[in-house]
Amino acid sequence: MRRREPPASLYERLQVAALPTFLRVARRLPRRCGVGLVVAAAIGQAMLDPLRLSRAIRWVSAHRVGVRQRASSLVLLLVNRGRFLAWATGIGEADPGTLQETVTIEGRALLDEAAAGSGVLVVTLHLGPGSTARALRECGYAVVVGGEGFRFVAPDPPVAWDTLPPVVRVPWRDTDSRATGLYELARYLRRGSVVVLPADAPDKGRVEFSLRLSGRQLDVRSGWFTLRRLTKAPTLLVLHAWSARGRVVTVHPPLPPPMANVESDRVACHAYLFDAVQRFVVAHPEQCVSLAWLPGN
Amino acid sequence: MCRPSQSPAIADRSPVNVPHDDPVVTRVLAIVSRIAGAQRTPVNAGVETRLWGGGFSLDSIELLYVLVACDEAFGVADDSHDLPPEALATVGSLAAALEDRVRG
Repeated sequence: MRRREPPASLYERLQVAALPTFLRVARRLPRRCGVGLVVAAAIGQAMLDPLRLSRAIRWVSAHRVGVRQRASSLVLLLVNRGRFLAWATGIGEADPGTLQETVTIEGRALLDEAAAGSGVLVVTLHLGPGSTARALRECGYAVVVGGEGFRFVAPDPPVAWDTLPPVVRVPWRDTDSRATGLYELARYLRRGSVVVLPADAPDKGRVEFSLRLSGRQLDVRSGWFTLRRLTKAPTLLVLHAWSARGRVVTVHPPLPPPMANVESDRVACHAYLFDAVQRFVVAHPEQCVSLAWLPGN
Repeated sequence: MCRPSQSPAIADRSPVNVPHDDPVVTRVLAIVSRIAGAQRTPVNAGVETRLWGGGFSLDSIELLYVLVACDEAFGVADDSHDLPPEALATVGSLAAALEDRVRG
């Protein structure tokens, strides 16, 4: 999937142009070397980007106390940024068996119960390793994924991913394809699919509301909120995090069913998401790469 | 999980091929005008009026509401083929695509 709009600056355009080749090289290396290379490149790139680096420093300063804690938190954040990219592009993931051993799912019964009677809308955020849709596939779920893709031409998925349950991608790039994409997702929901949609995509879609998290405001998009109201599909927040044992997918209890009054509905969803996301941010500030690194909306 | 069937090409759905007094166009125009509101409905709205990026200036969420409202109004089946983004260019292209989908 590619975005239609080119990156803003020449520096950014050069990086986007070089990234596919770089990732293909990293893909061919042994797991540790491949991931290590991406992490080293992410740290190096951060050193050359004072604007984003200062944003990351402000982020860790809001969550950690003392010079030493903040310094180690910043290093971890930059390492995680590299891991995020490596994970998203399948660096060092040759063996699907290994993949599934490293992920655990908490709250599986909630998702199974919701999916038993109808389609389910899974709302995710770009936190932790990201790519919650793929993590759900590792946990055995066939999914439909909507959203914008990478700004660069991503290398083909590793062959190992072919052994995971199937995925249908509904990509969009701009206003009209986003509308038809959301419409298609609504039809998938009515047919009983598990539809995964990020709520914090950095695209130009409408913002439904903002979460004033510690250290940063997060704009929450309207796509999932509208689908939830239109289809009445049970909607669950699913977050994905690194842990000492590997990765953990956490299925949260369903969001409240849609209310007739849109404003009341918005308030209820805001309260629900704020509580869950703020808890994640406080517990794992170093895993909030998009919040710490990307410009605000 | 089955993927909806792919849409046919819409090369012959140019708005100029859709008559202005077509009842489908009239209904689509009414739906779009209701969702856009009086302030954003162009005075001379018609077949060639753009739905987004000018004309009605709808955003993607409003376009989604238009599509759902059209499905209900025209009884489009859930298993009808996909709607290509190009169908959302103008009132006429949407009307033509809807006629195509209703015919199956």
